[in-house]
Amino acid sequence: MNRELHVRHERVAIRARQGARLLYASDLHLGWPWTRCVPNQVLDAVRATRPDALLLGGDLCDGVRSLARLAELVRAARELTHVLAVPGNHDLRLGGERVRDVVTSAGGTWLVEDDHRIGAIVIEGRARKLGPLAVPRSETTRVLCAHRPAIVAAARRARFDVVLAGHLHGGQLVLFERGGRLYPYAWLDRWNGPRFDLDGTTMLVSRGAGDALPLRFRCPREVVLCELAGTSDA
Amino acid sequence: MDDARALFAEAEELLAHEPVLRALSVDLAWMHAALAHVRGAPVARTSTGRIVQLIVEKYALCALAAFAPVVLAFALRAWWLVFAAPVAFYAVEAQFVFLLPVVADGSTRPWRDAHLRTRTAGGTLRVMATVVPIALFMLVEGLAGRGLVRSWLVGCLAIVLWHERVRVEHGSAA
Repeated sequence: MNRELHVRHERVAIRARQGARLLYASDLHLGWPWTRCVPNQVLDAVRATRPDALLLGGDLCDGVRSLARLAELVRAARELTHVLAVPGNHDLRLGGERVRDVVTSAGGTWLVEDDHRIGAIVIEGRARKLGPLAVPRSETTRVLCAHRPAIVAAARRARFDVVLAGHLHGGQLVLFERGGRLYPYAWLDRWNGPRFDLDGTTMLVSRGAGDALPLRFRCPREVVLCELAGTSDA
Repeated sequence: MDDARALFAEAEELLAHEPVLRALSVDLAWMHAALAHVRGAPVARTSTGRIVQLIVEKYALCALAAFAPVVLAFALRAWWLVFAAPVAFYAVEAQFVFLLPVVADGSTRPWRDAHLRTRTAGGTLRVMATVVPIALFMLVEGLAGRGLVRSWLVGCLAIVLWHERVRVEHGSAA
């Protein structure tokens, strides 16, 4: 687990004039001996890439004792950029409110409750808000910071432009890549791949920055630098 | 499988964001609250008197259907028929998977309306192809230490979201 954390660069063209750089880090799984190095590696990635916001995409903590480590990470990252977070299934098991309190008291934004705006780009933490099932595409560029990639179905109905997700860890064991998907795990989950361009919605799926089970093969731990390229950047 | 996974993800997100849905009740109050959150509009409260009776009747029917292949397996000494038991269980479950949402929506003929909604959702096989993975996710996530009650709630919400999608896409008359 001490091996380096890979920074994957992805560029997505958006309608807005002004672009933004978002660093998405999911699946930190803090609390295991082998994930002790992850917070520092994420901070190094923030310093190296200088994003407009660090997005923490869920599965941040495994166990109560890891909450302090999360607080340290958020506090340190907050000095460098905005920190936005959503819960993953492991955090919900621990108690979503607990993780939320740690993130917000350390200066981060809990996207479940508050959206974050960078110019004409709105970063949200919920695919499905109250209201109709389908909404018209708005003038702003909407980014969904999510945990499970399967949420993309709801995100497409809600007309999100970009979805950032994790959860699958790339399957952790990759034997081959075909059609933009990582096998064999893609046989179990079709969203096991780095990037999906789906008719108006682009989804980037991170292979995760940490693991609950530290076994990987041809599947490096990573954070994703999502460069939203505005029309003025073209 | 994809549809079930998407519903499960959406339900988990909803449950994470709406703490009020984490308290399950044995009347229709939870179902009314879930429908109201999914729709973003209040739902008319209907009678809750028969809810437990309906649940017992539904699962009695499912169990009866699952029991038939087991009896046949013993009678014919054809043990492979035992594997048909879960299939029979979910074939009946698929007919009435939307029973509670349609009751919460005020249906006066819930068995008929639930069955009609199954047909609208694509019929027995298509509904089974979604409901069985949802049941598996509930079981696997629950047993993986993520809490059986929480997984069960996510599964219930997935059914509510599915019901709502079918209702909106095919009209409330379905």
